[in-house]
Amino acid sequence: MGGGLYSSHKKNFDTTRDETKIKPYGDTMNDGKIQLSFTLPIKDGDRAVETARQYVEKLNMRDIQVVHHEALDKEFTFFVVYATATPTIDYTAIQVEELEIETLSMEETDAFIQNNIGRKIIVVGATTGTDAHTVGIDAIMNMKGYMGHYGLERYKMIEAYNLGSQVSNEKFVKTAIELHADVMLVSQTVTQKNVHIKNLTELVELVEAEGLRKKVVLIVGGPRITNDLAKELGFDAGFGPGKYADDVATFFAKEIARRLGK
Amino acid sequence: MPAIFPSNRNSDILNQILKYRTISIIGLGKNVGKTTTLNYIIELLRSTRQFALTSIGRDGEKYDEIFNNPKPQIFVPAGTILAIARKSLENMDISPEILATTDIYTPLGKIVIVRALSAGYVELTGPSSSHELEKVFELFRFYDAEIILVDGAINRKSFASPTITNATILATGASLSPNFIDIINETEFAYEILTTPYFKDEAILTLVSQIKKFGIITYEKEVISFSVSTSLDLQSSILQKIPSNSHYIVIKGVFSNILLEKLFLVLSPQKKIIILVPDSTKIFLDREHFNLLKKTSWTLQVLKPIKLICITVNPYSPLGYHFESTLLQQELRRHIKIPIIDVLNGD
Ligand code: B12
Repeated sequence: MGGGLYSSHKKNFDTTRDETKIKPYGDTMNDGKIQLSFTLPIKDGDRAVETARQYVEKLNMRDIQVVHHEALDKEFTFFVVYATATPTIDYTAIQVEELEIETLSMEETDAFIQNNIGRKIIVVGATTGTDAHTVGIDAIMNMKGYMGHYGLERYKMIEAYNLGSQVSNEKFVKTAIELHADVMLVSQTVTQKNVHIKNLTELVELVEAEGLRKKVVLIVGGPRITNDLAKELGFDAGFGPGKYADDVATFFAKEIARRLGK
Repeated sequence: MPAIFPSNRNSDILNQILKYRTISIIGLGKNVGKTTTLNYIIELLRSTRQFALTSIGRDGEKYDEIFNNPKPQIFVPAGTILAIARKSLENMDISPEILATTDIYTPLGKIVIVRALSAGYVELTGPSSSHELEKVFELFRFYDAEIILVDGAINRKSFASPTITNATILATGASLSPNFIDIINETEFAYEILTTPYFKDEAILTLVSQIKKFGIITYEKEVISFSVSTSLDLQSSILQKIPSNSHYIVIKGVFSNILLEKLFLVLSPQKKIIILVPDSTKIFLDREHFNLLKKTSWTLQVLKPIKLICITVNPYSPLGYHFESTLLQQELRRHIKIPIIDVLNGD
């Protein structure tokens, strides 16, 4: 095997692009080349390199080259590995949900709310339970926003209340009732021992038991949150990394308009 | 899917189930065997009645969203009616006939009503909330479903409210805790809450109906309905108005830990007081608070009872450990007076 970035194995694969059999692209169509980087809790050295190689083999990869290994400390080693993946995926069978709506700008959302709802939307947000991480919910709600996306507080047609972190579900629901909230935003970062799961289902259950579920759009966000998880837990949507105030504002503005039959 | 052999136990459960039109399956947590329970009931019902299925969460997917473990799949016979999100249509191997499209949205797409033209595995993902379930039930009935089964999600139980489903099955299992005693305690606690005694004094009930969110009926039958938007927590201005001759405390929403603590501030635990809640899905007390309440002379009663058909146990945890099934059942039977079944072992 050569020392280059990719193996010099003969290319005995079909190099035409087939949408029903998509594979990773390295430098040739369908070569299946993938770069992996990971850490193992073992001491650096030849034995470590071989362990990393065999591990990647267990992932059903071929043509494995450990191109980089570096001791992070005495007991941890970081690896970069090039390898060939064999599975293909049928791109034509991947369906995009109607949920993936086009994100409007702040001005467009304000105009949309003005025209379709005709009043300000009331939004209450919090990081609930014992979770103390506020940066996520602040990124969505605070005036200045995050990564160049203004937060909900800056929207003219949104009245935003950020309750901060470590808010009990009871207090969160009570505040939502008192403010006549249209939207409840909850942020969860800590997922150790799945504390977020129990905390999030408890919130859904309180909202149901208080007869509030029909009246609010219930949204969860955080680094480990996906739409699929949101569905399983009983939320209307889930927003993970790379999502900002404009994404969530577009979603709830359209959802409220839809519920109003607009 | 192992076939279920006819036994007295199974025919007893079947007879119970056949008495109701809508049945919810609730779990005490993730991986306690809700899906296996559902498969068991499907198997019991097969060729008895036209039935319909949905889930308020997501079930029957090949891999778990939270733990990434392989999961049991849901097998349905031909003719089954289902309410599922659009995206699940791609994750099943039945031939679906789309009967209706609803205006209910979920993060996995719109809910559609389908009929299985062939038997096979399905992913169940229905409406997430109770008010949407009611719409789905209407459609199910329109398509002649005689029995409707609703599968739960994680530990959610709100849809077991008697205002939504007629009867309930509770699933518990090893995945709750690696500690045997914890499983017994948690299951007994859930059972006790779900079977909270039923209040039927007609004369008092007419007074109860005058109370909006939270109120009191005194020993002299005076009714006080407080103007609060929720009983989740009470301001001290409201608390001060609770008279010491309170006989009934009427909570028309959630009965929370904080509310109980607040009530302890103004009412004597030695007094005979009856706390009334709409049904047991509104009781959010944790075990400590519930035990505290049991030590007083107060009693907790519901305005509408839940019919709990049976409890199913799954002695295996996906984390690798398991318990002796007979031991688990034996221990649970000490305080639980309804049938307890290990649906994996069929006994
Ligand atoms: C800053 C930080 C802290 C700060 C928090 C300060 C504060 N005021 O928030 C402090 C030091 C207090 C802290 C404490 C702890 N932390 Co910390 N912390 C972090 C750190 C470094 C950054 C998190 C962050 O701010 N990210 C930036 C924001 C913008 O990203 P985000 O939250 O993902 O939000 C985006 C999206 O997810 C989404 N989003 C998020 N929420 C919402 C909500 C809605 C409605 C929507 C629509 C979208 C949305 O939008 C945002 C923008 O795109 C991370 C490590 C890392 N680099 O990620 C660890 C990390 C999150 N912390 C961790 C842990 C374990 C802890 C502690 C438990 C540590 C300990 N042992 O004590 C404690 C927890 C205390 C508690 N009770 O919660 C772990 C979590 C592991 C896990 N999954 O459970 C991490 C991942 C570190 C690690 N690798 O171990 N932490």
